[in-house]
Amino acid sequence: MAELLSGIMPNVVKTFPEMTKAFFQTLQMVGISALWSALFGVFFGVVLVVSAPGGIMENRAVYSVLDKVINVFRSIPFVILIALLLPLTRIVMGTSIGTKGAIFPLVIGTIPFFSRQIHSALCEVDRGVVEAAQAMGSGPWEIVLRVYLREGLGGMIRGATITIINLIALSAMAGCVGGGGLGDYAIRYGFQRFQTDVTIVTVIILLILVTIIQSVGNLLTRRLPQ
Amino acid sequence: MIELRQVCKTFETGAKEANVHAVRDVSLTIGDGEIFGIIGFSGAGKSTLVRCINLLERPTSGQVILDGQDLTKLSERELRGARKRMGMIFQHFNLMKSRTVYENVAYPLLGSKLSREEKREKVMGLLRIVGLEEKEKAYPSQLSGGQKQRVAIARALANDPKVLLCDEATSALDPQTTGDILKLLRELNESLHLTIVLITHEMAVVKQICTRVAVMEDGRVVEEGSIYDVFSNPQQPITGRFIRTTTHIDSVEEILRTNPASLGVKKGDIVVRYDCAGDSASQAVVSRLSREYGVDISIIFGNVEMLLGTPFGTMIVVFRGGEEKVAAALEAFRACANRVEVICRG
Repeated sequence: MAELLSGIMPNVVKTFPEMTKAFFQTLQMVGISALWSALFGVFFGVVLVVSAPGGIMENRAVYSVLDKVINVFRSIPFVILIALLLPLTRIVMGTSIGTKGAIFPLVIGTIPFFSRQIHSALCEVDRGVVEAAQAMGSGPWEIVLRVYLREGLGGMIRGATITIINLIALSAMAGCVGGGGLGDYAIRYGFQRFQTDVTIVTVIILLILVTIIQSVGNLLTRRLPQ
Repeated sequence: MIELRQVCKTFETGAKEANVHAVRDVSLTIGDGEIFGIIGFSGAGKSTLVRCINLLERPTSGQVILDGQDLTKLSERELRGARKRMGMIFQHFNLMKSRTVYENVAYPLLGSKLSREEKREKVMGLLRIVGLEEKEKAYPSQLSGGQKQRVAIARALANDPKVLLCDEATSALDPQTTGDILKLLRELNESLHLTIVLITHEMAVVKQICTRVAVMEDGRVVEEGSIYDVFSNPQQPITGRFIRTTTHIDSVEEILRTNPASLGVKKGDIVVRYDCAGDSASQAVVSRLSREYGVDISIIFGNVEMLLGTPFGTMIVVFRGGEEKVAAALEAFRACANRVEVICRG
Protein backbone atom coordinates (compact mmCIF):
# COMPACT_ATOMS: atom_id res chain seq x y z
CA MET A 1 0.00 0.00 0.00
CA ALA A 2 2.71 2.45 1.05
CA GLU A 3 4.68 1.47 -2.04
CA LEU A 4 1.70 1.97 -4.26
CA LEU A 5 1.10 5.47 -2.90
CA SER A 6 4.80 6.32 -3.21
CA GLY A 7 4.53 5.22 -6.82
CA ILE A 8 1.58 7.45 -7.64
CA MET A 9 2.43 10.51 -5.59
CA PRO A 10 5.99 10.30 -4.32
CA ASN A 11 6.25 13.93 -3.21
CA VAL A 12 3.03 13.88 -1.24
CA VAL A 13 4.18 10.82 0.69
CA LYS A 14 7.57 12.41 1.30
CA THR A 15 6.06 15.63 2.66
CA PHE A 16 3.10 14.03 4.36
CA PRO A 17 3.77 15.48 7.83
CA GLU A 18 4.01 18.95 6.28
CA MET A 19 0.78 18.44 4.43
CA THR A 20 -1.03 17.40 7.61
CA LYS A 21 0.34 20.44 9.35
CA ALA A 22 -0.74 22.67 6.47
CA PHE A 23 -4.21 21.15 6.55
CA PHE A 24 -4.68 21.95 10.22
CA GLN A 25 -3.28 25.42 9.69
CA THR A 26 -5.91 26.02 7.05
CA LEU A 27 -8.63 24.76 9.37
CA GLN A 28 -7.30 26.97 12.14
CA MET A 29 -7.10 30.10 9.98
CA VAL A 30 -10.50 29.56 8.42
CA GLY A 31 -12.17 28.53 11.66
CA ILE A 32 -10.93 31.37 13.85
CA SER A 33 -11.38 33.98 11.12
CA ALA A 34 -14.88 32.72 10.43
CA LEU A 35 -15.90 33.07 14.07
CA TRP A 36 -14.64 36.65 14.37
CA SER A 37 -16.03 37.63 10.98
CA ALA A 38 -19.39 36.13 11.89
CA LEU A 39 -19.53 38.14 15.08
CA PHE A 40 -18.74 41.47 13.42
CA GLY A 41 -20.49 40.65 10.14
CA VAL A 42 -23.80 39.93 11.85
CA PHE A 43 -23.44 43.08 13.92
CA PHE A 44 -22.68 45.34 10.95
CA GLY A 45 -25.27 43.60 8.76
CA VAL A 46 -27.92 44.27 11.40
CA VAL A 47 -26.76 47.87 11.83
CA LEU A 48 -27.01 48.37 8.05
CA VAL A 49 -30.52 47.00 7.81
CA VAL A 50 -31.97 48.85 10.80
CA SER A 51 -30.29 52.17 10.00
CA ALA A 52 -31.12 52.11 6.27
CA PRO A 53 -33.70 54.61 5.00
CA GLY A 54 -37.06 53.19 6.02
CA GLY A 55 -35.41 50.88 8.57
CA ILE A 56 -36.68 50.42 12.10
CA MET A 57 -33.96 52.68 13.55
CA GLU A 58 -33.37 54.86 10.53
CA ASN A 59 -30.13 56.81 10.83
CA ARG A 60 -28.76 58.27 7.64
CA ALA A 61 -25.35 59.18 9.07
CA VAL A 62 -24.64 55.71 10.47
CA TYR A 63 -25.93 54.02 7.36
CA SER A 64 -24.04 56.02 4.80
CA VAL A 65 -20.74 55.92 6.71
CA LEU A 66 -20.93 52.17 7.28
CA ASP A 67 -22.08 51.55 3.73
CA LYS A 68 -19.11 53.47 2.31
CA VAL A 69 -16.53 51.98 4.66
CA ILE A 70 -17.66 48.50 3.66
CA ASN A 71 -17.37 49.39 -0.02
CA VAL A 72 -13.89 50.79 0.48
CA PHE A 73 -12.67 47.68 2.25
CA ARG A 74 -14.26 45.40 -0.29
CA SER A 75 -12.43 47.22 -3.07
CA ILE A 76 -8.97 46.61 -1.64
CA PRO A 77 -7.36 43.48 -3.11
CA PHE A 78 -6.59 41.04 -0.31
CA VAL A 79 -2.82 40.82 -0.94
CA ILE A 80 -2.60 44.60 -0.66
CA LEU A 81 -4.78 44.57 2.46
CA ILE A 82 -2.33 42.15 4.08
CA ALA A 83 0.55 44.52 3.38
CA LEU A 84 -1.39 47.61 4.48
CA LEU A 85 -2.41 45.97 7.72
CA LEU A 86 1.07 44.74 8.67
CA PRO A 87 1.75 47.31 11.42
CA LEU A 88 -1.72 46.99 12.82
CA THR A 89 -1.48 43.20 12.72
CA ARG A 90 1.67 43.38 14.76
CA ILE A 91 -0.06 45.47 17.40
CA VAL A 92 -3.23 43.39 17.58
CA MET A 93 -1.84 39.89 17.24
CA GLY A 94 1.67 40.44 18.63
CA THR A 95 3.15 39.19 15.37
CA SER A 96 2.62 39.86 11.69
CA ILE A 97 3.80 36.52 10.40
CA GLY A 98 2.73 32.91 10.57
CA THR A 99 -0.78 31.59 10.96
CA LYS A 100 -1.43 33.99 13.78
CA GLY A 101 -0.35 36.91 11.65
CA ALA A 102 -2.61 35.78 8.83
CA ILE A 103 -5.78 35.61 10.90
CA PHE A 104 -6.07 39.36 11.48
CA PRO A 105 -6.03 40.39 7.80
CA LEU A 106 -8.35 37.47 7.02
CA VAL A 107 -10.87 38.77 9.56
CA ILE A 108 -10.58 42.36 8.32
CA GLY A 109 -10.86 41.19 4.72
CA THR A 110 -13.90 39.03 5.43
CA ILE A 111 -15.99 41.26 7.71
CA PRO A 112 -17.11 43.63 4.92
CA PHE A 113 -17.96 40.72 2.65
CA PHE A 114 -19.93 38.89 5.31
CA SER A 115 -21.63 42.10 6.47
CA ARG A 116 -22.98 42.48 2.94
CA GLN A 117 -24.10 38.86 2.91
CA ILE A 118 -25.97 39.37 6.19
CA HIS A 119 -27.36 42.68 4.99
CA SER A 120 -28.80 41.18 1.84
CA ALA A 121 -30.13 38.17 3.78
CA LEU A 122 -31.93 40.51 6.20
CA CYS A 123 -33.25 42.67 3.36
CA GLU A 124 -35.05 39.54 2.19
CA VAL A 125 -37.11 39.51 5.38
CA ASP A 126 -40.62 40.58 4.50
CA ARG A 127 -41.09 44.22 5.37
CA GLY A 128 -44.70 43.45 6.19
CA VAL A 129 -43.69 40.99 8.90
CA VAL A 130 -41.49 43.64 10.49
CA GLU A 131 -44.41 46.03 10.34
CA ALA A 132 -46.70 43.46 11.92
CA ALA A 133 -44.21 43.09 14.79
CA GLN A 134 -44.15 46.87 15.22
CA ALA A 135 -47.94 46.92 15.22
CA MET A 136 -47.86 44.32 18.00
CA GLY A 137 -45.75 46.64 20.12
CA SER A 138 -42.32 45.00 19.63
CA GLY A 139 -39.35 47.28 20.25
CA PRO A 140 -36.44 47.58 17.79
CA TRP A 141 -34.20 45.05 19.53
CA GLU A 142 -37.02 42.59 19.91
CA ILE A 143 -37.62 42.92 16.19
CA VAL A 144 -33.93 42.34 15.44
CA LEU A 145 -33.74 39.23 17.59
CA ARG A 146 -37.18 37.74 17.08
CA VAL A 147 -37.94 38.74 13.54
CA TYR A 148 -34.88 39.69 11.47
CA LEU A 149 -32.40 37.14 12.78
CA ARG A 150 -35.01 34.41 12.85
CA GLU A 151 -36.82 35.04 9.59
CA GLY A 152 -33.55 35.78 7.81
CA LEU A 153 -31.74 32.71 9.14
CA GLY A 154 -31.88 30.77 5.87
CA GLY A 155 -30.29 33.61 3.93
CA MET A 156 -27.73 34.13 6.66
CA ILE A 157 -26.67 30.48 6.53
CA ARG A 158 -26.34 30.68 2.76
CA GLY A 159 -24.23 33.82 3.17
CA ALA A 160 -22.09 32.12 5.80
CA THR A 161 -21.49 29.15 3.50
CA ILE A 162 -20.28 31.39 0.70
CA THR A 163 -18.17 33.39 3.13
CA ILE A 164 -16.41 30.35 4.60
CA ILE A 165 -15.62 29.00 1.15
CA ASN A 166 -14.34 32.43 0.24
CA LEU A 167 -12.19 32.38 3.37
CA ILE A 168 -10.55 29.14 2.25
CA ALA A 169 -9.56 30.83 -0.98
CA LEU A 170 -8.26 33.88 0.86
CA SER A 171 -6.33 31.74 3.34
CA ALA A 172 -4.29 30.36 0.45
CA MET A 173 -3.07 33.89 -0.19
CA ALA A 174 -2.03 34.19 3.43
CA GLY A 175 0.96 32.14 2.34
CA CYS A 176 2.57 35.50 1.47
CA VAL A 177 3.03 36.31 5.12
CA GLY A 178 4.21 32.83 5.87
CA GLY A 179 0.77 32.01 7.11
CA GLY A 180 1.12 28.39 6.17
CA GLY A 181 -1.87 26.33 5.21
CA LEU A 182 -2.67 24.24 2.17
CA GLY A 183 -2.32 27.07 -0.34
CA ASP A 184 1.15 27.86 0.90
CA TYR A 185 2.06 24.17 0.83
CA ALA A 186 0.81 23.80 -2.73
CA ILE A 187 2.79 26.83 -3.91
CA ARG A 188 6.04 25.85 -2.23
CA TYR A 189 6.07 22.20 -3.25
CA GLY A 190 3.66 21.79 -6.11
CA PHE A 191 4.32 25.00 -8.02
CA GLN A 192 7.84 26.12 -7.20
CA ARG A 193 9.37 22.60 -7.19
CA PHE A 194 7.24 21.25 -10.02
CA GLN A 195 5.81 18.50 -7.82
CA THR A 196 2.54 18.25 -9.71
CA ASP A 197 1.20 15.44 -7.50
CA VAL A 198 1.31 17.83 -4.51
CA THR A 199 -0.77 20.38 -6.40
CA ILE A 200 -3.32 17.79 -7.46
CA VAL A 201 -3.70 16.30 -3.99
CA THR A 202 -4.04 19.75 -2.44
CA VAL A 203 -6.76 20.68 -4.89
CA ILE A 204 -8.59 17.43 -4.13
CA ILE A 205 -8.40 18.09 -0.39
CA LEU A 206 -9.71 21.63 -0.85
CA LEU A 207 -12.45 20.33 -3.13
CA ILE A 208 -13.56 17.90 -0.44
CA LEU A 209 -13.45 20.65 2.17
CA VAL A 210 -15.56 23.00 0.03
CA THR A 211 -18.01 20.25 -0.78
CA ILE A 212 -18.47 19.40 2.89
CA ILE A 213 -19.05 23.04 3.84
CA GLN A 214 -21.51 23.57 1.01
CA SER A 215 -23.39 20.39 1.89
CA VAL A 216 -23.62 21.31 5.56
CA GLY A 217 -24.91 24.74 4.54
CA ASN A 218 -27.49 23.24 2.22
CA LEU A 219 -28.55 20.72 4.84
CA LEU A 220 -29.05 23.43 7.45
CA THR A 221 -31.12 25.66 5.16
CA ARG A 222 -33.21 22.73 4.05
CA ARG A 223 -34.04 21.86 7.63
CA LEU A 224 -35.49 25.32 8.20
CA PRO A 225 -39.23 25.69 7.67
CA GLN A 226 -40.00 27.37 4.40
CA MET B 1 -62.97 55.12 21.34
CA ILE B 2 -60.71 56.36 18.56
CA GLU B 3 -60.65 59.96 17.56
CA LEU B 4 -58.68 61.40 14.68
CA ARG B 5 -58.33 65.16 14.77
CA GLN B 6 -57.23 66.96 11.63
CA VAL B 7 -54.79 64.24 10.72
CA CYS B 8 -52.49 65.03 7.80
CA LYS B 9 -49.75 62.85 6.38
CA THR B 10 -47.38 64.16 3.77
CA PHE B 11 -44.62 62.08 2.25
CA GLU B 12 -41.59 64.16 1.42
CA THR B 13 -40.14 63.49 -1.98
CA GLY B 14 -37.36 66.06 -1.96
CA ALA B 15 -39.04 68.55 -4.25
CA LYS B 16 -41.69 70.45 -2.36
CA GLU B 17 -44.26 70.57 -5.15
CA ALA B 18 -43.91 66.81 -5.66
CA ASN B 19 -44.72 65.95 -2.02
CA VAL B 20 -47.44 63.38 -1.69
CA HIS B 21 -50.34 64.45 0.48
CA ALA B 22 -51.62 61.00 1.35
CA VAL B 23 -54.00 62.13 4.08
CA ARG B 24 -55.41 65.66 4.23
CA ASP B 25 -57.08 67.02 7.31
CA VAL B 26 -59.07 63.96 8.30
CA SER B 27 -61.19 64.08 11.45
CA LEU B 28 -63.14 60.99 12.43
CA THR B 29 -64.63 59.56 15.57
CA ILE B 30 -65.00 55.82 15.86
CA GLY B 31 -67.11 54.65 18.77
CA ASP B 32 -66.63 51.57 20.94
CA GLY B 33 -68.00 48.41 19.42
CA GLU B 34 -68.44 49.88 15.96
CA ILE B 35 -67.41 48.23 12.75
CA PHE B 36 -66.18 51.25 10.89
CA GLY B 37 -65.40 50.98 7.21
CA ILE B 38 -63.10 53.26 5.26
CA ILE B 39 -63.55 52.82 1.54
CA GLY B 40 -61.67 54.36 -1.33
CA PHE B 41 -59.95 53.53 -4.58
CA SER B 42 -56.23 52.68 -4.57
CA GLY B 43 -54.19 55.73 -3.74
CA ALA B 44 -57.00 57.45 -1.87
CA GLY B 45 -54.91 57.39 1.30
CA LYS B 46 -57.00 54.93 3.26
CA SER B 47 -54.10 52.60 3.98
CA THR B 48 -52.00 55.50 5.22
CA LEU B 49 -54.91 56.67 7.35
CA VAL B 50 -55.35 53.32 9.09
CA ARG B 51 -51.60 53.17 9.72
CA CYS B 52 -51.84 56.58 11.33
CA ILE B 53 -54.18 55.11 13.93
CA ASN B 54 -51.45 52.94 15.46
CA LEU B 55 -48.74 55.32 14.32
CA LEU B 56 -47.04 52.89 11.96
CA GLU B 57 -47.15 56.13 9.99
CA ARG B 58 -46.64 59.14 12.21
CA PRO B 59 -49.05 61.87 11.12
CA THR B 60 -47.37 65.02 9.85
CA SER B 61 -49.88 66.97 11.89
CA GLY B 62 -53.03 66.30 13.87
CA GLN B 63 -53.87 64.10 16.79
CA VAL B 64 -54.76 60.45 17.22
CA ILE B 65 -56.64 59.88 20.42
CA LEU B 66 -57.28 56.42 21.83
CA ASP B 67 -59.46 56.38 24.94
CA GLY B 68 -58.58 59.96 25.77
CA GLN B 69 -54.83 59.49 25.27
CA ASP B 70 -53.10 61.39 22.48
CA LEU B 71 -50.87 58.76 20.88
CA THR B 72 -48.80 61.31 18.99
CA LYS B 73 -47.54 62.70 22.31
CA LEU B 74 -46.34 59.36 23.71
CA SER B 75 -42.73 58.25 24.04
CA GLU B 76 -41.63 55.23 22.00
CA ARG B 77 -42.01 52.98 25.02
CA GLU B 78 -45.49 54.26 25.89
CA LEU B 79 -46.48 53.97 22.26
CA ARG B 80 -45.51 50.29 22.24
CA GLY B 81 -47.81 49.81 25.20
CA ALA B 82 -50.63 51.59 23.39
CA ARG B 83 -50.10 49.47 20.28
CA LYS B 84 -50.71 46.36 22.37
CA ARG B 85 -54.24 47.64 22.88
CA MET B 86 -54.78 47.58 19.12
CA GLY B 87 -54.51 44.50 16.97
CA MET B 88 -53.83 44.74 13.27
CA ILE B 89 -54.27 42.43 10.31
CA PHE B 90 -52.97 42.91 6.80
CA GLN B 91 -53.74 42.16 3.19
CA HIS B 92 -50.80 39.78 2.90
CA PHE B 93 -51.24 38.35 6.40
CA ASN B 94 -47.61 39.03 7.40
CA LEU B 95 -47.12 35.81 9.34
CA MET B 96 -43.63 34.69 10.25
CA LYS B 97 -42.60 31.89 7.93
CA SER B 98 -40.09 30.46 10.38
CA ARG B 99 -42.67 30.01 13.14
CA THR B 100 -45.50 27.53 13.44
CA VAL B 101 -49.10 28.63 13.73
CA TYR B 102 -48.83 28.23 17.49
CA GLU B 103 -45.60 30.27 17.67
CA ASN B 104 -47.05 32.99 15.49
CA VAL B 105 -50.03 33.41 17.76
CA ALA B 106 -47.78 33.23 20.82
CA TYR B 107 -45.44 35.91 19.43
CA PRO B 108 -47.17 38.89 21.09
CA LEU B 109 -46.99 37.02 24.41
CA LEU B 110 -43.18 36.66 24.31
CA GLY B 111 -41.84 38.53 27.28
CA SER B 112 -45.23 38.76 28.97
CA LYS B 113 -45.63 37.73 32.58
CA LEU B 114 -47.84 34.75 31.80
CA SER B 115 -46.55 31.31 32.72
CA ARG B 116 -45.95 28.66 30.08
CA GLU B 117 -49.25 26.96 30.85
CA GLU B 118 -51.17 30.23 30.80
CA LYS B 119 -49.68 31.10 27.43
CA ARG B 120 -50.56 27.71 26.04
CA GLU B 121 -54.11 28.04 27.30
CA LYS B 122 -54.39 31.52 25.81
CA VAL B 123 -53.00 30.55 22.41
CA MET B 124 -55.10 27.41 22.12
CA GLY B 125 -58.16 29.41 23.14
CA LEU B 126 -57.49 31.90 20.34
CA LEU B 127 -56.92 29.13 17.81
CA ARG B 128 -60.23 27.63 18.90
CA ILE B 129 -62.00 30.95 18.27
CA VAL B 130 -60.68 31.12 14.72
CA GLY B 131 -61.26 27.40 14.17
CA LEU B 132 -57.66 26.30 13.63
CA GLU B 133 -56.86 24.26 16.74
CA GLU B 134 -55.69 21.26 14.78
CA LYS B 135 -53.23 23.38 12.77
CA GLU B 136 -51.13 24.49 15.72
CA LYS B 137 -48.00 22.71 14.48
CA ALA B 138 -48.38 23.71 10.83
CA TYR B 139 -46.23 26.38 9.20
CA PRO B 140 -47.86 29.30 7.37
CA SER B 141 -46.69 27.92 4.01
CA GLN B 142 -48.91 24.90 4.59
CA LEU B 143 -52.06 27.00 5.01
CA SER B 144 -54.54 28.50 2.58
CA GLY B 145 -55.07 32.25 2.38
CA GLY B 146 -58.16 32.17 4.54
CA GLN B 147 -56.42 30.05 7.17
CA LYS B 148 -53.45 32.41 7.19
CA GLN B 149 -55.75 35.35 7.82
CA ARG B 150 -57.40 33.42 10.66
CA VAL B 151 -53.99 32.87 12.24
CA ALA B 152 -53.27 36.57 11.80
CA ILE B 153 -56.55 37.40 13.51
CA ALA B 154 -55.73 35.07 16.40
CA ARG B 155 -52.31 36.69 16.70
CA ALA B 156 -53.81 40.17 16.63
CA LEU B 157 -56.10 39.20 19.49
CA ALA B 158 -53.38 37.76 21.72
CA ASN B 159 -52.93 40.96 23.71
CA ASP B 160 -56.70 41.28 24.27
CA PRO B 161 -56.96 44.46 22.23
CA LYS B 162 -60.09 46.58 22.21
CA VAL B 163 -59.55 47.63 18.63
CA LEU B 164 -58.77 45.62 15.52
CA LEU B 165 -57.39 47.47 12.50
CA CYS B 166 -57.88 45.67 9.19
CA ASP B 167 -55.74 46.89 6.32
CA GLU B 168 -57.35 45.42 3.17
CA ALA B 169 -57.65 42.21 5.15
CA THR B 170 -59.84 40.44 2.62
CA SER B 171 -58.43 41.87 -0.60
CA ALA B 172 -56.22 38.87 -1.28
CA LEU B 173 -58.98 36.36 -0.63
CA ASP B 174 -61.63 34.83 -2.87
CA PRO B 175 -65.26 35.90 -2.34
CA GLN B 176 -66.22 32.77 -0.41
CA THR B 177 -63.27 33.09 1.97
CA THR B 178 -63.86 36.84 2.25
CA GLY B 179 -67.37 36.06 3.44
CA ASP B 180 -66.07 33.60 6.04
CA ILE B 181 -63.51 36.06 7.38
CA LEU B 182 -66.09 38.85 7.56
CA LYS B 183 -68.42 36.55 9.43
CA LEU B 184 -65.64 35.79 11.90
CA LEU B 185 -64.94 39.50 12.34
CA ARG B 186 -68.58 40.15 13.02
CA GLU B 187 -68.68 37.36 15.60
CA LEU B 188 -65.61 38.81 17.31
CA ASN B 189 -67.20 42.25 17.26
CA GLU B 190 -70.22 40.85 19.06
CA SER B 191 -68.59 38.40 21.46
CA LEU B 192 -65.58 40.51 22.49
CA HIS B 193 -67.18 43.91 21.95
CA LEU B 194 -64.24 44.53 19.63
CA THR B 195 -64.11 47.81 17.75
CA ILE B 196 -63.13 47.12 14.16
CA VAL B 197 -61.71 49.61 11.69
CA LEU B 198 -61.71 48.10 8.27
CA ILE B 199 -60.33 49.59 5.11
CA THR B 200 -61.20 48.21 1.74
CA HIS B 201 -61.84 49.11 -1.87
CA GLU B 202 -64.77 46.73 -2.06
CA MET B 203 -68.23 48.10 -1.34
CA ALA B 204 -69.44 44.52 -0.93
CA VAL B 205 -67.24 44.17 2.15
CA VAL B 206 -68.49 47.39 3.71
CA LYS B 207 -72.06 46.41 2.96
CA GLN B 208 -71.66 43.07 4.63
CA ILE B 209 -70.45 44.07 8.06
CA CYS B 210 -69.91 47.77 8.63
CA THR B 211 -72.12 49.89 10.82
CA ARG B 212 -70.62 53.15 9.64
CA VAL B 213 -68.54 54.06 6.67
CA ALA B 214 -66.26 56.88 5.53
CA VAL B 215 -65.55 57.39 1.85
CA MET B 216 -62.07 58.63 1.00
CA GLU B 217 -60.94 60.39 -2.13
CA ASP B 218 -57.61 62.08 -2.72
CA GLY B 219 -56.61 61.96 0.95
CA ARG B 220 -59.86 63.43 2.26
CA VAL B 221 -62.93 61.92 3.83
CA VAL B 222 -65.61 63.14 1.46
CA GLU B 223 -68.56 61.43 2.99
CA GLU B 224 -69.28 59.71 6.28
CA GLY B 225 -72.34 58.24 7.88
CA SER B 226 -74.21 55.13 8.87
CA ILE B 227 -74.01 52.44 6.26
CA TYR B 228 -77.72 52.77 5.73
CA ASP B 229 -77.70 56.52 5.12
CA VAL B 230 -74.73 56.38 2.82
CA PHE B 231 -76.23 53.57 0.79
CA SER B 232 -79.72 54.92 0.55
CA ASN B 233 -78.77 58.53 0.00
CA PRO B 234 -75.22 58.97 -1.29
CA GLN B 235 -74.12 62.61 -1.38
CA GLN B 236 -70.95 62.39 -3.44
CA PRO B 237 -70.52 61.07 -6.98
CA ILE B 238 -67.71 58.78 -5.85
CA THR B 239 -69.97 57.19 -3.24
CA GLY B 240 -72.54 56.55 -5.92
CA ARG B 241 -69.85 54.88 -8.01
CA PHE B 242 -68.91 52.57 -5.17
CA ILE B 243 -72.51 51.62 -4.56
CA ARG B 244 -73.00 50.87 -8.22
CA THR B 245 -70.10 48.44 -8.15
CA THR B 246 -72.09 46.17 -5.89
CA THR B 247 -75.13 46.00 -8.17
CA HIS B 248 -75.34 45.43 -11.91
CA ILE B 249 -77.41 48.51 -12.48
CA ASP B 250 -74.68 50.11 -14.56
CA SER B 251 -74.91 47.54 -17.31
CA VAL B 252 -78.69 47.81 -17.44
CA GLU B 253 -78.57 51.58 -17.70
CA GLU B 254 -76.01 51.26 -20.45
CA ILE B 255 -78.35 49.05 -22.46
CA LEU B 256 -81.21 51.46 -21.88
CA ARG B 257 -79.13 54.26 -23.31
CA THR B 258 -77.94 52.41 -26.37
CA ASN B 259 -80.61 49.88 -27.24
CA PRO B 260 -83.78 50.20 -25.13
CA ALA B 261 -85.79 48.08 -27.56
CA SER B 262 -83.80 45.02 -26.59
CA LEU B 263 -85.32 45.30 -23.11
CA GLY B 264 -88.82 45.63 -24.56
CA VAL B 265 -89.11 49.41 -24.14
CA LYS B 266 -91.60 50.82 -26.67
CA LYS B 267 -92.58 54.31 -27.76
CA GLY B 268 -94.50 56.17 -25.05
CA ASP B 269 -93.03 54.06 -22.22
CA ILE B 270 -91.38 55.68 -19.26
CA VAL B 271 -88.41 53.95 -17.68
CA VAL B 272 -87.97 54.70 -14.02
CA ARG B 273 -85.36 53.79 -11.48
CA TYR B 274 -86.48 53.77 -7.90
CA ASP B 275 -84.84 53.13 -4.57
CA CYS B 276 -86.85 52.05 -1.61
CA ALA B 277 -85.87 51.19 1.90
CA GLY B 278 -87.25 49.62 5.03
CA ASP B 279 -90.96 48.89 4.97
CA SER B 280 -91.61 50.16 1.47
CA ALA B 281 -89.11 47.68 0.10
CA SER B 282 -91.26 44.84 1.28
CA GLN B 283 -94.60 46.26 0.11
CA ALA B 284 -96.25 45.12 -3.06
CA VAL B 285 -96.04 48.61 -4.56
CA VAL B 286 -95.80 47.61 -8.17
CA SER B 287 -98.84 45.39 -8.35
CA ARG B 288 -100.94 47.80 -6.25
CA LEU B 289 -100.20 50.81 -8.48
CA SER B 290 -100.73 48.74 -11.55
CA ARG B 291 -104.22 47.79 -10.34
CA GLU B 292 -105.19 51.19 -9.00
CA TYR B 293 -104.10 53.27 -11.98
CA GLY B 294 -104.66 50.78 -14.75
CA VAL B 295 -101.11 50.91 -16.07
CA ASP B 296 -98.69 48.15 -16.93
CA ILE B 297 -95.57 48.16 -14.84
CA SER B 298 -92.90 45.70 -15.81
CA ILE B 299 -89.70 45.17 -13.87
CA ILE B 300 -86.52 44.94 -15.91
CA PHE B 301 -84.06 45.09 -13.04
CA GLY B 302 -84.26 44.49 -9.33
CA ASN B 303 -81.78 44.28 -6.50
CA VAL B 304 -82.24 44.07 -2.74
CA GLU B 305 -79.47 44.58 -0.19
CA MET B 306 -79.69 43.92 3.51
CA LEU B 307 -78.05 46.80 5.34
CA LEU B 308 -77.79 46.33 9.09
CA GLY B 309 -80.81 44.07 8.81
CA THR B 310 -82.93 46.56 6.87
CA PRO B 311 -83.82 45.77 3.27
CA PHE B 312 -82.80 48.32 0.68
CA GLY B 313 -84.04 47.81 -2.85
CA THR B 314 -83.28 49.28 -6.25
CA MET B 315 -85.45 48.62 -9.27
CA ILE B 316 -85.79 49.69 -12.84
CA VAL B 317 -89.37 49.50 -14.06
CA VAL B 318 -91.20 50.42 -17.26
CA PHE B 319 -94.53 52.26 -17.11
CA ARG B 320 -96.91 51.83 -20.02
CA GLY B 321 -100.56 52.75 -20.65
CA GLY B 322 -101.31 56.30 -21.73
CA GLU B 323 -99.70 59.56 -20.75
CA GLU B 324 -102.17 60.70 -18.12
CA LYS B 325 -102.54 57.41 -16.35
CA VAL B 326 -98.79 56.95 -16.28
CA ALA B 327 -98.26 60.46 -14.92
CA ALA B 328 -100.75 59.81 -12.12
CA ALA B 329 -99.20 56.43 -11.34
CA LEU B 330 -95.77 57.97 -11.27
CA GLU B 331 -96.96 60.61 -8.82
CA ALA B 332 -98.31 57.94 -6.50
CA PHE B 333 -95.14 55.98 -6.97
CA ARG B 334 -92.99 58.84 -5.74
CA ALA B 335 -94.89 58.80 -2.48
CA CYS B 336 -93.84 55.26 -1.60
CA ALA B 337 -90.22 55.28 -2.71
CA ASN B 338 -87.14 56.99 -1.31
CA ARG B 339 -86.08 58.21 -4.66
CA VAL B 340 -87.63 58.01 -8.10
CA GLU B 341 -85.72 58.96 -11.17
CA VAL B 342 -86.92 58.86 -14.75
CA ILE B 343 -84.09 57.31 -16.71
CA CYS B 344 -85.53 57.59 -20.20
CA ARG B 345 -88.69 57.83 -22.22
CA GLY B 346 -89.33 55.42 -25.02
